[in-house]
Amino acid sequence: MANEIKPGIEAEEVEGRIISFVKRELLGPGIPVSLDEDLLSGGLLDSLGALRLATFVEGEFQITVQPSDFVIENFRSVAALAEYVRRSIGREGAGAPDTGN
Amino acid sequence: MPALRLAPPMTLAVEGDSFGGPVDFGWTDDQVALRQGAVGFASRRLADGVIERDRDSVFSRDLWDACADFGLQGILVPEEWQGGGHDTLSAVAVLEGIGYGARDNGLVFSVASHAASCAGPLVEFGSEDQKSRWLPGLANGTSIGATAITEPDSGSNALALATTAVENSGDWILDGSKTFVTNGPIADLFLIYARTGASGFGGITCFVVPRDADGLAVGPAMDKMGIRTSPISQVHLDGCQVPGSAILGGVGSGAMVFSQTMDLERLLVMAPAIGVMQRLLERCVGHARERTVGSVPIGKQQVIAHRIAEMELELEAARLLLYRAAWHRTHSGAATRESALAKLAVSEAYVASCRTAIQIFGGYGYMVDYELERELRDAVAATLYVGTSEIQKNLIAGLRGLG
Repeated sequence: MANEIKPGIEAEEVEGRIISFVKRELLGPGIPVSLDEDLLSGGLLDSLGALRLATFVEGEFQITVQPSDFVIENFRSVAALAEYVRRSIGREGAGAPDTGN
Repeated sequence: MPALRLAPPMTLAVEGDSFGGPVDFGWTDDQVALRQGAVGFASRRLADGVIERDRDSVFSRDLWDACADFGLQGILVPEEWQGGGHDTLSAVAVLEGIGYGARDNGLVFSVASHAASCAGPLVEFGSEDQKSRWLPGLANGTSIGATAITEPDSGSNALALATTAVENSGDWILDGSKTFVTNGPIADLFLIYARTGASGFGGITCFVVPRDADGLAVGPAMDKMGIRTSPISQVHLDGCQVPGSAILGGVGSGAMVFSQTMDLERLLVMAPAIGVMQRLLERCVGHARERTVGSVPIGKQQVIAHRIAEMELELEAARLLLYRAAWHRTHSGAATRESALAKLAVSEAYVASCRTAIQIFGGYGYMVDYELERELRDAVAATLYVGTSEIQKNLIAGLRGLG
């Protein structure tokens, strides 16, 4: 049964949307990427790629990536980023205040 | 109590559309008062004796302390650590006012760099222990902060680091050399970026290192063309041992910490330039009205009037980009694209504005006593520090998947 975490966004499809973007825009369609593959230390993404990924999840999932959230734990892999997205949606949905600097 | 603590952080909540972002730049009464207060403070305290300090490359600790008493160094630091607790947009408003009132662009650059590149990341990424240990001193100005990332062989790619940090029984050993470290000769605390892992983006870590750490040595102040009242130097690390608690933001997060820090620093170091350009514009208008040739004010000549119109156009365009980027960072999170656009526009307009001012003043503009040639020398640095204009274009195009 689908678990809609935001209008038009189901929890189970977060990983798929991220992988699709990474393949299409950052790596190229011929390069495989797995859920747990290290995107940063493995050298798959450079600094611009990580920034584009942050911009993508902000727009795609209507969340705000705070500067203090832009850390390796949240962007290390597709799985880690998807978990961060779900956590952010839950937090922002609960009315967390804007803590922008 | 620092003057900048008087007003609470502002709030704006107007969202723009996807074709250009927010368009509501309304300032709160508190922000207007902060900016006016900054103009008054800078006009009284930061406008005298600059010709001599520039000539002799003198950093004034007394004026640094005056800025700290006013609240500049801790403008972004939360009140619980002795700061003003202001957001990015309010800080930009204050620093614009400082740039308008001050003449000592080098000192203002030192202060803005300290607030943005050292105190800023400690606020955003620091542990509770790091914040309580370092932020009060950085906020009240008793401790001077610096960031060390650029290396002699890294060129414009700041993340191409040769400096290494190797773990040893819980401690980390840093080896390498950094250059162009703003505030280096006077700093008490350094944020040092080093490679801790593979060659990828995730192989860089940021360390908080006090000046008295064994193995850290600061080189002599480097002589330079402009912002000569802001000291700069190399920093050398020879077996510099720091505890694991010195890591800022986690092992491997250094490039991300740096990226966010650059977003902030682009805005804070360029905000004073908007104030300087406003001041230059007003000087040029005044000169064009008063200076006569054949009893006719030179401002009546279209060639002069049009150049002043172009100064105003470039100033206002750059100002709006800066405000929008600061608004975006305050309310919408990451602002790399916005801050790169703003930094590029402001720095290039800054140089153009100074050149135009000198042309309008003619030979007088070339004389040291008119304090325009120094403005131009100071402005040129803005197209180089915190990422050259070419790097900003790389960022802007790169975020579109180009380049």
